[in-house]
Amino acid sequence: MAHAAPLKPGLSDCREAWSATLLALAEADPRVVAVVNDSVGSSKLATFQKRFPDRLINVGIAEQNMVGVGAGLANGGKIPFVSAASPFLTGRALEQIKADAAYSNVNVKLVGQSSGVAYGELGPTHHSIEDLAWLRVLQNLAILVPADPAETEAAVRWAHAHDGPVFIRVSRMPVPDLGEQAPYEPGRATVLRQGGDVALLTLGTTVHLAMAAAGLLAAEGVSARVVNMRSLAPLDEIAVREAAATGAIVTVEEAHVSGGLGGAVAEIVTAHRPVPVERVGFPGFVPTGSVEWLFERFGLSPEGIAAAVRRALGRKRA
Amino acid sequence: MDIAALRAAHPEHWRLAAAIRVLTLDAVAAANSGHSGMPMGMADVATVLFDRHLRFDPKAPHWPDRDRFVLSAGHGSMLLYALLHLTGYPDMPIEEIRNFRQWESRTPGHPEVHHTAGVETTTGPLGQGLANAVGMAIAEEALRARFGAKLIDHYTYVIAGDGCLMEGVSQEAISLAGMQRLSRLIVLFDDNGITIDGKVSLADATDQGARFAASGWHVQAIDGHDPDAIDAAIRAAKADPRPSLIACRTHIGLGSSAQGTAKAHGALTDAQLIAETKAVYGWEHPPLSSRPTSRPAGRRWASAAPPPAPNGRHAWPPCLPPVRPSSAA
Repeated sequence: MAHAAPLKPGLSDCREAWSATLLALAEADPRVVAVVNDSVGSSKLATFQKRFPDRLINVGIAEQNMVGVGAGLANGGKIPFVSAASPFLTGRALEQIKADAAYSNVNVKLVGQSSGVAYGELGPTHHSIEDLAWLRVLQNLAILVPADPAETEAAVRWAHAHDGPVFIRVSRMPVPDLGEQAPYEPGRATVLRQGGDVALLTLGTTVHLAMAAAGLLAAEGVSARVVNMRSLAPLDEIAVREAAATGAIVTVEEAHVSGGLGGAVAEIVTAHRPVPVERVGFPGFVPTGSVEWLFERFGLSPEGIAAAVRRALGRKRA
Repeated sequence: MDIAALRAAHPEHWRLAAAIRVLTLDAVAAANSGHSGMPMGMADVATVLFDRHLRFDPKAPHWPDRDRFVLSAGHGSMLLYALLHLTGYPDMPIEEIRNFRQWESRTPGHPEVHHTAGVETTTGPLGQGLANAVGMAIAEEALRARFGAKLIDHYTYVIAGDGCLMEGVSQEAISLAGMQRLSRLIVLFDDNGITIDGKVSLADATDQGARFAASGWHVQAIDGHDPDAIDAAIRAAKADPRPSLIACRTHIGLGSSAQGTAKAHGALTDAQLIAETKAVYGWEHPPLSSRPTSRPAGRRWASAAPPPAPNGRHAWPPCLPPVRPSSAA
């Protein structure tokens, strides 16, 4: 297992918010159950397990069955939160997510833990940079990508209240609190910073990096809007079209550059208002390495994002 | 297979099972596509299950304490549609059977949850139903522990085929069910030995009974065309504290000239074959006529379901306080 470095001051692990919220929901609603695949530790559910030993179902290392069992529990009126490492939940059980959860529109919640390149040193088999692309085409499935602990809590609460299948992408990457005040609603992006030269569209662990990049750009006289998309499905299409009105877009995500947020934004922009779109993310299988090194190496950093903005602005002027 | 002897030994059962078989033959022929052989092979097992064991109410298909029935071998969908029709589900009139596999019908190629009342989960991808059923059985255990057996007390039945058991997900499901000792989970295995390409032995030589037993299941093997043996096996399965596998040795496409062959797995549409098969069954009704086998007065297919409340929802047993809708699972 990859061990995260001790948290730096001001940074939080969203998994703590996920597990605390699930516990609070379970205290109030007896329908809430957790389904895990030997993943109590990585899902931070040890406290849940102690408090509700009969409401945590460990299926063993068996992801396909895990999703099927989750759907079956929903048939009995339970609200199952199926929590497992994202690469295996989404990769191994993709057909079950499609058929048992999304197509059947079943009230099951899928929680992809340690997504992106969180398992940096464990290599591409354990990276989960494809999950957003795989899941985005599945109708009915809400895809929530929270950016900080408060948004993680809001996403878990929304998933609980929503009658239908939901995927929540939870990172173990320490992130700062964004202090967002806008009420949480999937499909409604929030503008964290106004700007008219270019729009940075992002979600999840890279939101704070985009904010830092906008700060760097301001020193160069570039006015960059920063938009936290909050969810990939539903996607706030109006926010994307407003972003296109700036004339240049940069998407930033801890995921493959194809098929996820970058792909979704490109689909909308090409249909409505073609403008240059630079996509920051991972271009394919990435090397085995620490999370920090991978972020730096592939431009998921304030400097890397600022460089992508300059490329986009260059194309805008051309 | 001595069908004449089967008919003579259990005439009333035979009439019910033959209705499933004939509805399947006629519906698949009308659609010119589908899977005839599996419903024809498993009709006896399904008849005994629905007639003598399954607790459900066609008028209240979402009654929380209904027994769950999962057709994991979803390609045999006409088995389920025929049963839903014969047991009087209001939205499964004969017209829906006539429209098998047609646009906007309630009888698509594979059972679709939320589309057809009486379908608990979408199946078709083989093995999926098993995993769903394990979740249903865990939910039943949890709900019974919380609310008590007066309120929640039901079984989860699965019909699974060779293909379901070949899929890897089946082992994951079987392992968990055995470890959890899901005593209310009963899998009826359509042990017909046939796949699309030919005999199962082309690709698989697993001793399925031994596999289930190794995972902590109660295992029985029976003649899947003997109603008394089927009934006894289901009773024994209910009495055992473990999840149960009943391997039902059946003949795919029973009674047709394609019986026991890979040809019977798919659509049997040849008019002469169908006519000859009906003659073997002793069936003389016109094709796709409405409910030719209605039960004699005083007998119901659905047993022991409580009467529906005036608003259409089931009343909870009077011994218990009213349950608020928000907490009614």
